[in-house]
Amino acid sequence: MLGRRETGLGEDAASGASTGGREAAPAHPNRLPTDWWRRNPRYVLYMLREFTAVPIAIWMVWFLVEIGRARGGSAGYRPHQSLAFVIFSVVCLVFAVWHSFTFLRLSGLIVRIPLGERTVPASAIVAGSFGLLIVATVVVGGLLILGGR
Amino acid sequence: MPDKTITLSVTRFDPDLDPEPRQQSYEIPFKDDMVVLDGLNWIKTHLDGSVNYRWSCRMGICGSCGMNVNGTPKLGCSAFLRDYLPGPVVVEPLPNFPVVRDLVIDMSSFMEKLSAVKPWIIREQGAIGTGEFLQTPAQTEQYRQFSMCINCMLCYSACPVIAIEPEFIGPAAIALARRYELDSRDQAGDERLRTITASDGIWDCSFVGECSAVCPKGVDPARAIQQTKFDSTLGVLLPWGGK
Amino acid sequence: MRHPGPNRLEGLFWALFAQSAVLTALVIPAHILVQGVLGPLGIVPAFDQHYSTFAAGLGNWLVKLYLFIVFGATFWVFAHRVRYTLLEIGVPGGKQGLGVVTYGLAGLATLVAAYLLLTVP
Repeated sequence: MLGRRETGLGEDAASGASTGGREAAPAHPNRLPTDWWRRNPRYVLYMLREFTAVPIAIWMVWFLVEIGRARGGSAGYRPHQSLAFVIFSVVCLVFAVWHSFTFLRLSGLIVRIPLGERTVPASAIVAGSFGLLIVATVVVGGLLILGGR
Repeated sequence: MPDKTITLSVTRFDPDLDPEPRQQSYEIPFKDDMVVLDGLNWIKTHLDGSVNYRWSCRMGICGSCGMNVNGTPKLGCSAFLRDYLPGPVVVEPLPNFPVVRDLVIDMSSFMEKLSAVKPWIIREQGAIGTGEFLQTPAQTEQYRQFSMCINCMLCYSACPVIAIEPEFIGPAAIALARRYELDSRDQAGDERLRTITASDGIWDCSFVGECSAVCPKGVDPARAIQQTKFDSTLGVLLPWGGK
Repeated sequence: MRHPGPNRLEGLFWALFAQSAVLTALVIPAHILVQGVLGPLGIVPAFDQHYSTFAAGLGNWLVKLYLFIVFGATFWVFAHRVRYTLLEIGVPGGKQGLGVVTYGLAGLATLVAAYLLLTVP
């Protein structure tokens, strides 16, 4: 009833249209447009994941500025303390955590550790990565705090 | 016509007549179990015999009926119209391939990339026909997922890298290269790796991941590509690897 | 396909990116949390809030080396991601051109970081 016997253009006919005997009419290139990333939420999340590198780098540049100030000795030293800097840092922290979350979650897909004939399950690698994040945060954060006492 | 109808907006393109592809709308009877391919077949039979598209098996095996449905690459036979109510359903040719006519694309670029990765078992000793090459279920499991590819090319249409760098070998071909690399019976060594780690290979990929999201067979080409990046640099650069 | 054989340079760039991204994923949240939020608000002490503790920390060669690696990693991740993203949204320059600009910028920023870390008391 739905006329399944009526076929679309077969493969032979299609290749004939592009390379066949008569001069082929130009095909339309039909590439994804450059605003492809607005097409669905997964693309947007990808862009957000890649964008995390920007605020993280900007925050680290501010850290460099602080180190630069320390070169002038104690008299000229001003640490970052303003409310604006704290708000800026909170925003950067959100992006940094998003980077940690997305990158470490993908580690399970990528790292392949052979275990005899099998491989270590992805979930175990992801769990290990997040465990490492907690350990690193406690150690690095602890040292930064201890160094300030 | 039955009470319930749905509108399909189908891309039409005749390279001899049309400067650009255009959309043409068709109102068709709607039934709950209809897929986009059924809709196209109804149009071709009852409304307009000049609409061109590819199809064959109607059940997600042959990989012929790939098309963009409301902007997302789908198999026409697996996209139910009921998921797009009330319509209209926009049906377009797969992006990143030249359109030959209507929904028919020129897939020759993909065929070249596919053959470049030699998607078959290569043996040093014991050619085909000389006996069985045994494999345990655990060994099969290493590559089974990647072997499900039906060459439908949806992943190429979802990939923004292909749009910018058309020479990129692309998701399906690299997933199939990986499939044979992980096969315990294959003895090609780094032959395929040399192809897919070349300039138009894995390094073009920025891990958007949409290839894996649109795959109708649950293959994960993004994983194949990142794993290959990891494996191919691990030997050179250490110590705690990369991700 | 046009250039047969592995592209080792791109492989090296990716490996640097991947290792840098792991390192930054692990340590950056702690830095921003302590130095950017908790320290300035006075909730916890932080080594950069007073000159004496900051200078003492930066005077340690292990700290200098660690911070140099973290700065380099951050800027490399930035360069790599920006390079690919700009390419994908159609910014002209090509993969090579954008690579020269972004990796060059990262290299320069890392050199500045090295200079500051070496000259800080």
